[in-house]
Amino acid sequence: MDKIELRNITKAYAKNPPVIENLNLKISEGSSTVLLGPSGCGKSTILRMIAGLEKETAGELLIDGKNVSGVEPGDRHVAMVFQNYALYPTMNVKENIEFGLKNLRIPKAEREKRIQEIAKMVGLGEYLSRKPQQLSGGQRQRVALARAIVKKPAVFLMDEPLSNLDAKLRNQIRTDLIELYRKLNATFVYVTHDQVEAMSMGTDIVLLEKGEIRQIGSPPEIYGKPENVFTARFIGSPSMNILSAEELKRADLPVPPKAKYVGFRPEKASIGGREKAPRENEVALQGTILAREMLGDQILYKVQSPFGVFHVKSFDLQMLEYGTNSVLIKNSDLFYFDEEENRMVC
Amino acid sequence: METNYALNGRVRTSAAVSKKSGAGKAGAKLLPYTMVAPSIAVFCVFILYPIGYMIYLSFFHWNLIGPKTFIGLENYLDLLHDADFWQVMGNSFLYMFLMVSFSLMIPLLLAFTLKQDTRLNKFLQGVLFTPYIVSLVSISYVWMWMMDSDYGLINYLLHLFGMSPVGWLSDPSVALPSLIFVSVWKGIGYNTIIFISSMETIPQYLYEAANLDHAKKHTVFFRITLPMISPTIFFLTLMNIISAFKVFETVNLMTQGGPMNSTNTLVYDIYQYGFQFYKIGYASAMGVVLMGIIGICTVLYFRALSRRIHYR
Repeated sequence: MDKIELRNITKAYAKNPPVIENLNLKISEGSSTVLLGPSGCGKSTILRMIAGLEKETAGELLIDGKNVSGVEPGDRHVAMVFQNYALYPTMNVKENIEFGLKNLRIPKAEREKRIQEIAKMVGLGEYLSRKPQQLSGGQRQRVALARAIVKKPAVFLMDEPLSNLDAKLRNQIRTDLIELYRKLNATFVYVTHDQVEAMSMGTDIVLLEKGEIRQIGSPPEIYGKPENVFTARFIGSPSMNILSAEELKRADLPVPPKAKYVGFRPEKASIGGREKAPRENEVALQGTILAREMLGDQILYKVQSPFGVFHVKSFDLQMLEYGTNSVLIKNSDLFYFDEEENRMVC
Repeated sequence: METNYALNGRVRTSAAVSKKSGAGKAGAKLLPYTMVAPSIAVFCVFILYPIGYMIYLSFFHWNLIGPKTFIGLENYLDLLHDADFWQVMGNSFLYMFLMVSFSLMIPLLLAFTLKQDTRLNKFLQGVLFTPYIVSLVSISYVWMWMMDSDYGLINYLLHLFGMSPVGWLSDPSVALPSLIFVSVWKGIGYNTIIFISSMETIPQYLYEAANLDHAKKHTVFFRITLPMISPTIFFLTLMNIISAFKVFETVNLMTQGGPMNSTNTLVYDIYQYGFQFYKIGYASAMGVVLMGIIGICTVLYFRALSRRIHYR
């Protein structure tokens, strides 16, 4: 069942050209849907429209099948976690968590019970009387989460909740969030520009660019079957190598006639010295190593070939010498894209 | 020999350097004091010395011309038994309390409604602010004319609607509220602008969070807006308390403390005793009392509230 549905949604600020035009999106109940895209792609705007903080210029927004235009944010049964947490600085942790419950006129005994539960769940028990300013970034993040969870909403809206944390804490809280999602059995809509976060958090990923949906799919689909160059490049680190098909054709490599771009993932290519000859189901590209990056469990090579510069990720920890090497890629790992940058299925 | 020279040279230079830096240090220490010296001097001559002299004079009997006679605490004892003085004190406190309450509460509500950045609101802010830039003397005269019981505009309007005239400045029970009204009216614009600028620093996301937390408008006002601007409220309250105790121009021009002493306040009373009755010692004693009151109010206010203020 669809929990949230956007029908032909358009959003424009003042008289500027619309940031989102005729967007259609269905978010199914109980999913963890990640809105992913570079900054300025409209992902936060979509989230804020679902929350009711921004009004759609045209189109319909449905929650549980009901049009919610004109329904106040507080009446939409959604809770939001802001990027900067948006904790009330004049209230202590407990009051922050309690504020929404008080406004909903939930009796005191029930409030106390819920707060104690949540505090235990997110590990804030001893900080209840502290002010937000006295907490670390990670603790503030937990308060923001607690404030959302305590209302027992059907939908959690998260606007880049991890982007203000340092890398270590981000990984830790990311795992906590996944755990939380499994426990709460609610619908998550999660906005991020970080593809790793999207891959790990999402059951569905909605990839956006300039207010348009580029692809919707599960993380394996988005990674394994990119529908266009944008998706192919956005997902994966380093991103997919995209080479000109013309150049490859001139070198007598087998490329479908209509293809304009050929792509392959750095981790699907193998680089291993001159002696390696291509087998029947492989292509070989000759190239010179420009740079080597030892990352501990893998080595990243930047390779200059007649077809352009590309990256190869090698799990063979024997560092190769600078110089010419051949790079082998299985035919099945090659992606072809047409003139409109859409994937061609061959 | 050569090494010796080198050694000597090095020792000498390092000594010179340390000496130089020592002098530099002392200079650097003195510099800030030199910079504030002019203002300290002005403060001493025009504030500290007069205060000291006022306290000194309060123990004397003096009419500005004749010799000063030391009378100890007699001025203060007289004050204690002076019924008029107690009336003046009552007036001053009533004036302070009402003026501060109104000139904070009204601007607070105005600021909350006018803070949205629309053209109408900008215009209204300008309108509200205008009285503040007009001299208090002009304002006093204008209101004196409007509040005149025989020729005044207000009574004329009351008459048009068939209501009986009010002695705005001549009725002892109405005169003080009339003066309070004028002060509040003059100060509203300024306080509103300060409140608005303070409210504008509250991040929008707090209101959004409150909105998602199902908060009603009055809850948002009392739980988000008010606590967030508490330093401004604190500051304006204190400034208004002090200025209320120091009220002079309106009293002097509009009522001269009358009718029947009903609008006589501390500063006007001090002025009367000092420069109309030439009882300098007595006026000084009242000045000391006023200074004490303002001092105590300030300290109490800081003690009571400063811990509950949220500074960002």
